[in-house]
Amino acid sequence: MALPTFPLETKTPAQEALRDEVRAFLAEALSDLPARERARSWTGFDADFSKKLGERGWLGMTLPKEYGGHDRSAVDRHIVVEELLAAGAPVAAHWIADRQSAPLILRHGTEEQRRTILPRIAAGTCFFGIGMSEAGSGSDLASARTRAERTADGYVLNGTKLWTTYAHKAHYMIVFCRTGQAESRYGGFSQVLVDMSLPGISVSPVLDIAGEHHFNEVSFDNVLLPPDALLGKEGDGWAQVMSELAFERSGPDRFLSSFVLVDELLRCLKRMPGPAETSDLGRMVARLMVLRQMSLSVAGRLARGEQPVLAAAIVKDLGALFEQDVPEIARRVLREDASDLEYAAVFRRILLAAPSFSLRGGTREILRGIIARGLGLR
Amino acid sequence: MDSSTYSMVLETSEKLFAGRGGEGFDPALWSAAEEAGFPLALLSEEHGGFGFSAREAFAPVRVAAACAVALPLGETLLANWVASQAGLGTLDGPVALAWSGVEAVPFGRHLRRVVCLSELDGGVGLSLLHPAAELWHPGTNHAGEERDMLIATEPVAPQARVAMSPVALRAVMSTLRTVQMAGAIEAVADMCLRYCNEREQFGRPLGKFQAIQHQLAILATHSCAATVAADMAVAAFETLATQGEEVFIPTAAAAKLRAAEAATAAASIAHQVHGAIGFSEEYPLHPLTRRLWSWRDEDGSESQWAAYLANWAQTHSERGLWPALTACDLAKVA
Repeated sequence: MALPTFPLETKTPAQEALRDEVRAFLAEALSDLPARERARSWTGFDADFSKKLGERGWLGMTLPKEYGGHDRSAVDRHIVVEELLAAGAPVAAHWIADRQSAPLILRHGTEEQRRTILPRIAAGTCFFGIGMSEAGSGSDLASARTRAERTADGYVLNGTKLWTTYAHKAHYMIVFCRTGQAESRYGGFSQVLVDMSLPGISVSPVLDIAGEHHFNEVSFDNVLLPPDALLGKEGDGWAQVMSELAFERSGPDRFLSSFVLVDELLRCLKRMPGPAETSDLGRMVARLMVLRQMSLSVAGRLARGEQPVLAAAIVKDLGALFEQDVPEIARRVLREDASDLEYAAVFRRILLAAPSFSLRGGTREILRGIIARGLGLR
Repeated sequence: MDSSTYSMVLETSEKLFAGRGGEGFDPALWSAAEEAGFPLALLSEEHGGFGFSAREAFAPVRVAAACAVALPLGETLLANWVASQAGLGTLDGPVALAWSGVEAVPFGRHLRRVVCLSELDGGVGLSLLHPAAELWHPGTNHAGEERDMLIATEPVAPQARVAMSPVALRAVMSTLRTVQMAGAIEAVADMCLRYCNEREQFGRPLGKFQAIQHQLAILATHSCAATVAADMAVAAFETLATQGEEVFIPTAAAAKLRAAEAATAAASIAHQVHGAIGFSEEYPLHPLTRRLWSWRDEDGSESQWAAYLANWAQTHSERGLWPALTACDLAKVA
């Protein structure tokens, strides 16, 4: 079977020092943030916090220094990111920009785009939204209909994107759209860099099942884009968006979304009178320990310049299952008499967020299709 | 990183074990494995080994499991490792570790010696036994591998002691099963993929049906997880001397649990996609799945290790679980 390899990472003293430094910072910075807020994981938005991370050099870590980055490895970035997520830090403001927009711009952007945008991302002051899904185009991204028409002065953008997290706070959106005639199903697409302050853009909230606002619908009505809004090459949009998704799929955000509940569960278990049936807890910890090493291994392969697309899909599939099982395991292990208000609030937040874990960044079914293709079945 | 030694050991093992799977102990194959030096591979050169890394030493065990070979290879490897820790010298011939008491001994009736283990002053006491053939009460695991009970003899006083906690030694023994499960799961996944590419129904190969593709994708995720679990346990075993039991035991426990979970899923998917033929005696799927069903509960059942790890998590989470998890990260072998 053509399975990907997951060579184990080993820690260095420098990495341990980095981890300690991040942990000490977070202990201080988050001391007043209650667990129910930390349970928002990477949908908790705090622009000031993002700026503080930028000041410490923990954003844009893998970007070259000449673009405001820090020339650190993907493994160093993994360490910082998993510390942030494990602590439930409010990372949403910079999340998309740091995770996928910056590497995409670095890889495909013009020198001008890199110089103007990347340093601001690394500083934690420039936020991005994802412009992929549409009302009629979810898993089948190649059916997207948003269109950028070339004119003498640049492009005219028309269409509507959906499920764009924090579009209402983003400075830019990278919009996947049609720019030409499709000679094939995946042809004729491009990505454009859209300044969210341009006229003709309207952002309207779409509330999630918990009644929270992070999603948006973003409409582009004859939005005039300058010629340098094109990101990468015209017609290469499909390949580019696939590489963007690979960045989106490879991190510890794919198994740590419900980690705050794990800690809350352990906190309340201490107060539970009488013995608990905890073997589910043991199995959960085992899955988490192995997932972490798999995720670190993917970071190691990224750091060596590889493109571990299949390995990342496997970690994301297993990771989403894990994140979704955490609330189910918690309710089996913890009896009501040991719960408290804080636990209950955390539990509900994660229970209500859980369905999204196997949807965002590629559904479970799409991922399994990718894995099947990797096995040579498709 | 795969060293050239590792690749060489894999290649030699594959040559030796491919097609040699069977129900019970195979003396001829044992001699061949001994000739290749596999049973002593964990020992340093001065003790008659090759100074292999743990990863290299466990490679033949994984391959043997993938080939459903019935040999006390890992058992002999570990018994010699323990004996050398205790200064008992090299033990030739098939030999296994066994806790004194009621546990079944792997391949008991074929062993030249048994290293009998007992808890002793916080460490483990060792005594070498040479049980007579008639003292073995024969039994097997679900896969027909010999698992024999030693009919109680007079208690033997320990001849030596290793400064290792009993639970750490149990975790070492469980690592053998973890490695075996990883090897067998990968072989099961291979077999499923081959079968689904060949077998046609409704006018096309099974592997072209999306429902089957997704089952095979799930199987692949479990196989990868089991392999990483086994690599983690072996790597933590390698650093036992430097990073200590505090890192090794939870890592090995987690690895055994994760591999056991993967074993259950792999066996279930494999039988489902194979249909009736995979349920027949003549088809070579069951030697692997039956082993998986056995190994997941040998050397500490799934529920025992789950209880252990749950307790570990509860007692190591004063400042949250996270610091306890990262404390188990492996450092490079010096």
